[in-house]
Amino acid sequence: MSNREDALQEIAALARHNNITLEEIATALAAPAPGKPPASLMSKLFAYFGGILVFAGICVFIGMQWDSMGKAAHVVITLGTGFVLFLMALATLTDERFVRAATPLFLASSLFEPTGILVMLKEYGHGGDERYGFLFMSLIMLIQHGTALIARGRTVLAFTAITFGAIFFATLFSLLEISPNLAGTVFGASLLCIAYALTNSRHAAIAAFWYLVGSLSLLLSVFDAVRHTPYEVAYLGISAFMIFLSTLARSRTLLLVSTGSMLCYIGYFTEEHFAHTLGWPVSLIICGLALLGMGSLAMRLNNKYIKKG
Amino acid sequence: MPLKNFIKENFVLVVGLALPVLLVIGFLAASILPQSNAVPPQYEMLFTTTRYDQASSTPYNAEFLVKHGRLVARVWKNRPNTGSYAKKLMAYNGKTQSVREITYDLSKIGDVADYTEVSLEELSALHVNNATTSPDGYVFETAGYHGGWPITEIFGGGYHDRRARLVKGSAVFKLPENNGSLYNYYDTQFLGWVVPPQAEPAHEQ
Repeated sequence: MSNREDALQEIAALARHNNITLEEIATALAAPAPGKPPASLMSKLFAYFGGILVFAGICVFIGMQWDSMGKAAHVVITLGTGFVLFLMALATLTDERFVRAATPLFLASSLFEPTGILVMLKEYGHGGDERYGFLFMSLIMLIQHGTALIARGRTVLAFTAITFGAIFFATLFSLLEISPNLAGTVFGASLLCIAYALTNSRHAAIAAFWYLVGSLSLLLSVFDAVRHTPYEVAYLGISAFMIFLSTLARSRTLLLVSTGSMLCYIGYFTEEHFAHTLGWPVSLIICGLALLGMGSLAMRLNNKYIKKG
Repeated sequence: MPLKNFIKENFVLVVGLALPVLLVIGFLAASILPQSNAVPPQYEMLFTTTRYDQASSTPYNAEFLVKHGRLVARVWKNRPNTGSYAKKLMAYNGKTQSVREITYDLSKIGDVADYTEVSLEELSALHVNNATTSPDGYVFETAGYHGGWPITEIFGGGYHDRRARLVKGSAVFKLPENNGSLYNYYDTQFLGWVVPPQAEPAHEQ
């Protein structure tokens, strides 16, 4: 069968599956085909490239002049630059011609401003635990980016606001000396909930990253908590639950992490309990079979619940 | 009601934002509130910390141990014109939450052989119980480097110094820093609790 016949059969199957009529296919075919990449892609690339160059240039300049500058100059060059970049990013949002420069400017300001706040605390502070400085910095940045997110609704601001929120709570948990495993579990569960909310919003583009961070945090913390305890096998159940969640959230990232965690656990369990009784060859066969089975299961779940969802 | 509708429509987001806040509130309720009602340690805790002397100012160096409810010093001669690690004898008072140094003078002991155990006049009034747990239930934990866990280390919740403390259940009394010293396990040695004469040692060294 030729490629052409294959393609026709695939189109027919897709049309039947998605209830697409002949008229809708004809309308879609009549529309002009996207021949060249849209011009916006190039301008976006140039905007990012320009942003990186501006950022690198400022960093090199600061590095060259740092030792010859005073305390106030240190603060102005870092915090001042960051705040100006933030204002410029906000200003670009008001003019359609410069709106593509907003994301690189926001990202550059998100590096300069927190650095500037920490430099200010170092230059004018009285020493002490540096975590209080991180807490102060992340709170200020969270408030700034959170309010900008509410006002402007940009995805980059959602990303930075979540990042500074994560820094704030990670530092606070550390200061309060909350058990790392408990803190990691709550931190992970919280990020998973936020990522799920992002999936169903216009900020879906960043959901995968937070699914990755949240699921890794949750699974690593739970494993560390239950390892070498009678509840250790419950980890397998949690991994299975995460696989179920991945189908519910339709997240390939979550599916990948939870399948990987289950495989790692099977490998760990086999090495721990069977390697010395059955021997390594049999253990490797068990691990291989688990890998094949989990891989097949993950692909089926992806095709059935995530890909077509 | 707009807030009710917002919560209903964004329930998962609200749960995600509320979880870390609830953990902090729960932790504060479970640890700091009982702490405020806790009776502070009633017995002074004795311990030693180590400092490096560039050139020894006294002819002897010493380490401390508890024998028959009394603090004795095991002494040995310092090599002239060389540096050495000297023990500082410290006492932590849980009621005032302060640390004081108990000074002693080894030059008064005369000429004694190395590793002789001597009773110092400055310490003769101290009755010491060297049980790990104090008569009122407190346990001493030295300072140390405590880790976070991989993911939050990325976000700033990584390794940090944890101050030395007296712990009894959820009640925690942290030792104040002494010129930046946190009393880490590698330079701090627990000796015992200063007790009234009738409550003398549970264990002997």
